[in-house]
Formats: sequence, C-alpha cells, structure tokens
Amino acid sequence: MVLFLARRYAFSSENRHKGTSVRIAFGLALSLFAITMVLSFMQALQANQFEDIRTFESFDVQAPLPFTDLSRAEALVSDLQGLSLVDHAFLFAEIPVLIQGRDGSSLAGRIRAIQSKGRFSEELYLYKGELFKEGTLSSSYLHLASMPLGESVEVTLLKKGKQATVIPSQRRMTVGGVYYTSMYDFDASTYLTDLPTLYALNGDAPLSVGIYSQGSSDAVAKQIRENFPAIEPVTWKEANASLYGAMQLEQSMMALMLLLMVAVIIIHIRNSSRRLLLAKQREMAMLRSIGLNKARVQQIFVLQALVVAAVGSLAGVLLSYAGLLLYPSFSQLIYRSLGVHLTLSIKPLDLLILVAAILASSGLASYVGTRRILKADIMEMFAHDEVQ
Amino acid sequence: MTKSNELLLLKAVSKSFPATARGGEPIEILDAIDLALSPATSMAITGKSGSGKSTLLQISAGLLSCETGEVLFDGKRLDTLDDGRLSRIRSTCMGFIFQSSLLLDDFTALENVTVPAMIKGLGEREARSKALALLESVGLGDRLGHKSDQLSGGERQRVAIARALVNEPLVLFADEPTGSLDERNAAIIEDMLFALVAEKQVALMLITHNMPFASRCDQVYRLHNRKLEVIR
Repeated sequence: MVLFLARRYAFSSENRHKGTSVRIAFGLALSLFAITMVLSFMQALQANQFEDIRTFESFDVQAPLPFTDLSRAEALVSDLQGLSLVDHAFLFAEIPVLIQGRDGSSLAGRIRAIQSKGRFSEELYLYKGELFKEGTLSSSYLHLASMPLGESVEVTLLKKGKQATVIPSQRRMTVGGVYYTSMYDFDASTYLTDLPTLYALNGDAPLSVGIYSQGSSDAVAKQIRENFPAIEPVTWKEANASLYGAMQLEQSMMALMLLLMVAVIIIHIRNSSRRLLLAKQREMAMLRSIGLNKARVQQIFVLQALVVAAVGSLAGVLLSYAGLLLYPSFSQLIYRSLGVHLTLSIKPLDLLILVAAILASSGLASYVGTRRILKADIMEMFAHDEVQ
Repeated sequence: MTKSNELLLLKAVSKSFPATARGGEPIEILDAIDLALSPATSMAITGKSGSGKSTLLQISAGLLSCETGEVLFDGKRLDTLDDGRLSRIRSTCMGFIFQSSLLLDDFTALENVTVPAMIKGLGEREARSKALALLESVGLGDRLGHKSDQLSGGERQRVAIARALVNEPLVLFADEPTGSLDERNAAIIEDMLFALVAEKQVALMLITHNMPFASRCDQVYRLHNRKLEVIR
C-alpha cells in the first residue's frame, strides 16, 4: 500500500504534480552529469599532464652530468641501471635552436637527442619517416606545414665562439621523421635527433641522464644520491616545480568547485523536496483523515522523494556514460583548444558516492519536511494553501 | 445529557484560536461544550457561519485538538491515544464527509474509495470490489475511472459518501455535505446520506445551517455564542 501510494505520488501519469517530479529528476540528472564530467575531466587532466611530463618532458628523474664524454657517460648509465629502483636509464642532451621553416616561419624550440628511448619511444607516435636517423631531424605533426618530411630546413643554434662567448651558427638539416605525442607543448617546441648528430651540431651541449622508474621519483633520487654522490638528481616535480605547484592549486580549486556543486545540488534537493511536500500537504491531511498514521504517511513521501531522486540519479548516470561514449567525437576539439589528449573515465566508486549522497539528501530532506508538516493538526494541514 | 454507553462523548470542551501575528485577542470558539452521540443515532449541529460548528466536529473526530475538556470515543479519550491508535480508530470507526469533498485529486473515484479500505488492511482486490459496490450504490458505476476534477460537485460528494462508508464506520462526520451543491443535488445527497446511515446503522454527526436538513436527525443542536443549545 505504501509502495502503491509512493509510486502514484512520484511519476504516475495521473499525478497532478508529475511535472514537478520530472523537473526535480531532470535537475538532479543534469547536476550529476555535470559533476561526473567535471570530475572525470579533472582527473584525466591531472593524470594526463603528470604522465606526459614524466614520459616526455622531464622523465621521472634526470641528472645533469658535469662532463660530455660519451663513453664515460655510458659507463655511468650502466651503473645507474644496476640500482634497484631504476627501471631504465639513458643519456640525453638538448640545445636551443631557431628553425626557419619552408614556409618562411621561424620556429623557436630545442633539439633533443636521446640515446636509448624506453618509455619515451613507446609512448611517442611515428607519423611518417624514421625517427633518430643519424644526420636528420624529426619534427612534430604540428609543424608539418613548415617542416614537411624530406625537406631541408635552416637550423640556427648558439655555439661557443673563439672571441665571443657564444656565436650563432647555421646549418641545413633534412626532416627525416614526423612524430606526435599527447603533450602539445612538447610537440610544439621539440625536434628530435640522435646524440652523434646533436654533438655534431654543438660539441659543448650539456649531457644528462634520464631515468624512468615504477616507484617514487623521490626514492630514486635518494638512492642515486646515496650511491653516486657526485651526481645531483632532479625529480620531475623539482624540474617542474612551478607547474606542479600550479596544478596542485588547480586540483584544490577544482575540489572546492566540486564541493560547491555538491552543495548546490543539496540545496536544490532540499528546496525541491520542500516544494513537492508543500504541494502534497493537503493530500497528506486527507490520508491522515482516512486513517493512515503519521509514520506511514512519512514513509510514502520519503519513498516518493527517493523514487524521484533514484530516477534522477539513474538518468544522470546514463547521461554521464552517454557523455563518455560521445566524448571521442569531441576529443580532437579538446586537443586543439587545450593541447592535450584526454582519456576520460568514470570511477564507479565516485559515481556510487554521488548517487548515495543524492539519495541520502533526498530521503533526509523529505523526512525532515514531512515530519515538520505532520506536527500540525490534520485540519491545520488542510488549511494550508497549496504551493504549485 | 451524557450517558455511559455513548459512542462519542464531549466533556467541557473549549477551543480558541490564537491571536494573529499582527496582534489582537485570541478568538474563543467553543466554551465548555458537553455532547453525547449514541450508536446508530443522528445528530445535527446548526448555527450561523463562523459559529464554530465545523471546529466542534473536527474536535469530536480528533482532527483538531482542544485546549480544555475531554473527547471520548467508545470510552477512550482521544487526546491520550498515540498516533497509531488514533489513526486506527479513524480508519475503522470513523467516516468523514467535508463540504468541499476533499478527494485525493491524483486518484480516480474508484481509487478514492479503495485506498481507505486498503489502509484498513484489506487486500487490493477485496478493497476494490467493496468500493465498486458502494460506488454503484451511490449511482457512480459509470464514473469509476474519473478523477476529482472530472466529476461534478454532486458526484464528488457521492464519492466522498462512498469513501466514508467503505470501512463500515461506527460514526459518520459530515461537515456541510450539501453546502456547495445546488438544491436538486443537495436533495439527492441528503436522501442518499440518510438512507445509507439507516441501512448501515451508522451514527451521524451532521453540521449544517440548513434547518430542514438538520431536522431529519434524531437530535438537533444550535451552536450560539460558543455554547450548545438543544433544539430537539
């Protein structure tokens, strides 16, 4: 009987207040969808950016070497590779350059040479040609128009001079490969080559060791310091301290925003429950007058609120997953505007917590609302104007 | 006036409504009212509009609380009963007919009569068949699926009568049941009400300002200056 009445008071086609229930459910669905999407984007953005930084930009740990002797450096890399926390160690070097594109554009950036690529080359996509081919330069897909495959471009770099400290030097290099990664900033500023080619361009380029590790980068750095006191390792967090700080701030702000959104939902639930209950006050009085006790009236209207909230939540969950399914169609747009390839996902636990919060808020708001209404005498309840 | 075997007994019942938020004196409505209603008898309370007739009925039925005095139903003081027991009495022993019908708007005529029977504890099928029989007896066999706003005033009042009687109550409280109806419909409802009350041996407490209607009851009172005066 309670179920029958609750269902009738929620969404029945014969329900006079069906429109109110539908609006409440729709509001909840949209709110849940918005929160889920924001949460998903936030997590993807953070995870993606940190992952990209660790894979392409700074590696997990890097250590500048105080020498440029390749064979000595390779021996050191071999020793580092022996450390328990180091998964992969390799040499790399980079120099700033200015490239004159075929279309006349000037592209500022750096040439990076990597000896042994590991996770770097596993995550990097080859679009055309061949990467790390001796004597050639690889450019990103972003510069395809100004640096087409097989074309020769003019590279301007700074070298140690005999009279001046540094002097500009120009070389022509052929574009041997075109790559792309999920990191827009990296693609926009980085040209790849191998170490011998880079040292042929500038024999004074500082040499560094890059390290990938499955463990904590801080722990790796500590292990290196303990075993190789002459080396000063820098973790990816230290190398990108300002970016890392900004992203942490962004994370806090997003969490605050999410909290505000949840607060808005709870206020929406409270207000809409109140509205729905006030609209049903006369019906509650009627049910009481025909013998239904307060507890059962309360059960009916709490259940009704839960039914509306459950339908809204279900619609919100479906909407969220639909958004997730449709996202690949818009991912290119996101890449162009934000410069990142985001892989969205919804954590079922997050969704479950949100739905539970919505249901609990609805139930509680309805419980408190009916309790307040039912304190009055039946005839006082009848006397209250209906709120449409 | 009171007897020990009364179904409904009011002893020195007083009621006043608080002053409005803008101030002013509390409004006294009832002053030390004594009243008794025996099983299967009818009683009419008449009086001017605003004299407190409806308030007296609502207090008698436990729909409204009084400040002083006692209301006993079947020997039990209504103000001492918990909500569950009071609701049980309303469900099994009392039927209500209000001036403005007060049907469950979201429900059909049949459901309006079925729901009280289900609240009493009947299964849906049994409740429906009982409601169906009652609605047919009040001439609404062809209006079962109509909702409140699809029924005329007279039809709504007939649904209200069927609803009030579906649980075979001991007493029927009728507050101006013909107050909002035209003469023809009022006469139909009056006849129907008295016929059913007689047939089912239900006590009736009727509030009306219509003297010919009131005079059909066994006892007739007039509420005047917060006091009850015996007319018959």
